[in-house]
Amino acid sequence: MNKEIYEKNIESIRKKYESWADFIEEEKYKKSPFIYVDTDKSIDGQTIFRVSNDGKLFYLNGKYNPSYAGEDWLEQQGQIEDFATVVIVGIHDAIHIRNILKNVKKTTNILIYEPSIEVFVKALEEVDLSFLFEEDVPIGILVDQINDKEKKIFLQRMITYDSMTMLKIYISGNYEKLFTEKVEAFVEDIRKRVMDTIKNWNTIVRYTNVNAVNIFNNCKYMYDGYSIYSLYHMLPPEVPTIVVSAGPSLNKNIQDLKAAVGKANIIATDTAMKPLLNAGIIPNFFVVVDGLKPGDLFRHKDISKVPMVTMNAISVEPMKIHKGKKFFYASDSQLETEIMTRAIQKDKKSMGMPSLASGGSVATSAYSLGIYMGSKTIILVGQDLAMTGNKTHADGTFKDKMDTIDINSGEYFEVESVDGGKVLTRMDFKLYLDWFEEQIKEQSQIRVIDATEGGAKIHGSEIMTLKEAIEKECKKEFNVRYRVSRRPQMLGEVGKEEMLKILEGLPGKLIEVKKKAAAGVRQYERLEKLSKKNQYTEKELEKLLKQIGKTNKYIEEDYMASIVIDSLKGMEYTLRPSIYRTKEDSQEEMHDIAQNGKVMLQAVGYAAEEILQLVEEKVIPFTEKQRQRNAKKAGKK
Amino acid sequence: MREKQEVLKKAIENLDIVCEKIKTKENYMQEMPKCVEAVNGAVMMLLAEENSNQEYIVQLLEDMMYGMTQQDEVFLLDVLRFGLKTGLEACYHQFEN
Repeated sequence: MNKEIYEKNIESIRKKYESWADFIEEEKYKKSPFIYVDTDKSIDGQTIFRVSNDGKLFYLNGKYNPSYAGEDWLEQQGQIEDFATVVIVGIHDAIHIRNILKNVKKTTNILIYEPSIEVFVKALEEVDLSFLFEEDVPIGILVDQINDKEKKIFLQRMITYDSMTMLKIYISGNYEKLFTEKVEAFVEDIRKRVMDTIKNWNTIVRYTNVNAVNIFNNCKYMYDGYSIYSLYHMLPPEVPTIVVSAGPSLNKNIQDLKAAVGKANIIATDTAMKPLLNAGIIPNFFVVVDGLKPGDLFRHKDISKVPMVTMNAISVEPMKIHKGKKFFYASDSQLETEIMTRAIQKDKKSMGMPSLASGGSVATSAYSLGIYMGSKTIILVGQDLAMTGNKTHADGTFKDKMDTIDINSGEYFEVESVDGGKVLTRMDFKLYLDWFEEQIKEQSQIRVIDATEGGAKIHGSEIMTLKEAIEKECKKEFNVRYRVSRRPQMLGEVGKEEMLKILEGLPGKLIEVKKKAAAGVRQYERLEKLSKKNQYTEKELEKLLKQIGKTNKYIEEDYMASIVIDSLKGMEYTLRPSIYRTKEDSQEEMHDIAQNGKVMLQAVGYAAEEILQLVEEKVIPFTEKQRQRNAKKAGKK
Repeated sequence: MREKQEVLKKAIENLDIVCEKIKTKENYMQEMPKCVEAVNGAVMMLLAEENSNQEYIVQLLEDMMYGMTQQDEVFLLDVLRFGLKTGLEACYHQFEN
């Protein structure tokens, strides 16, 4: 060991991550008996590492020109763009890291992952790594056993929609062979993060055009609505929740569900409602999450008998068709936040509207609701997450007899089935399957029984028939319906009054946003002009940028402007990647900024106008009617 | 002199092929016998030369054998590219002068 180097490294680590230094010095880590790290000298005298792991022996760098490490990779990458994320697997002699750092810009996000504590400790003893821990070096470092649990947080922070198309991964020589499992798992985590980011963005973009329409149509139901907050831990832990989804296997055991009525909390997904009601089963709740769900799924004479768990962003028709109790969860809408915040501030009787953890599908939301309500056992029914019988959903959902899929379309692939064989699935189902498996792993106190009797295997769940599951788990009589009927409404009288005031003030707020956007467009037009002419004073530019800054601040911070911006995510989607591509010439860059800003604010103006029309058609008539009703009520009193 | 240069050139070309295959993670083992033969020819020729650095040449050959038998591509690529190829190229230019 080179004591001098080791002490220098520890000292620099201590300055940045004190707990790391203690962890290493006190040898709190667990060394693998199979990993041995040794050093060798290159021809020019540099320290290089040689690692043996479980019979495999490999060098981590070459002997004749170790300084070249990473150069082939850099050549392959070409120019690394501003704001790109570079992930480096392996620290050891850190020569490759120095080479990569020399070739990236200051705006590059660097994440380094060392999958072996043994290599890391040896490296601290032999090579100078202090540059990695200097205060002004914005590098994220993950080291096996020290902080690798923060992997998810780092990936969330470093891989975003903006940076993911510029993501670069460098895996140090022989790490894949020596630490196969850990490296593969890390790369899989990165892949998952990218997939999630795409999924989230696609969802946002898919729904934003309809989001505003849905929210401004649906917000009126909050007035007499309920919050899922009132359902929190309503159930004794021994009462299980049965989540009924509309997978193809539902047709097989739907009749068995009758035995669970009154002994379990039955939550149906939206699509499963029709088959359930047709089978004479009235669940305790049904959940909706989709902003585009067609109303046909809900046209049933008994639909209003079942409380709906919903949010403002779901499609308009189901909300209109269903006349029963509506329990709201948060939809991440600024309008809703404004209403709830102000109502709670002014009214002690008003309650919050929590969000519901979701893996992207209605069944995942129903699952989270069951746990939120207090169940310790969740029984999944109709949760195929696969094309059982080459169908997407159970008969009686979208059609009386569902069509079979074209298995050769290239959209489907095989996963393990509950019976140990293989079954076809598609990407969105696979993502939900991953979500369930992750939840089961993370929430070890929750028992999950898969009583679907078909479909994909959900690892970590217990597999049994629905009959068996009901016999074993649904033993206690518990009247969920009665408890639900005793829940108070979400808003108290004062909160309701506050809500009406906000809704009545919407037209005025939207006109304000329109005016600000128009002023912003004019400012960007002036900036565009400046970018075209070569002569302008610094003062002139500074003054204009100050005005633009003020407009942007308003657009970013005002709640109504945020609502309007949210309705434009599809547009932002096309503008955002270009924001990070810097231009060589500052005048060209100024021109680009002006163009993007102008387009965005023009769109804000149009969107504000559209929403204004919507508010006048849908919201104002409601407030007027409600005022009349309230006046009538007050008169009677 | 020209003949010697030809022998070196052949070895360098073979080294290039193997290095490229290792870099692109292709199966390089099937190219290895041809490459070893060409490198052997060049090395034998160099060892017969006066003033040759025999110790260094032997070390290079040992390292090449080590990289091959261990299938350690990081080590092997470095030996082939920065040890052998660079060395043979230097000899080629010496013969040229």
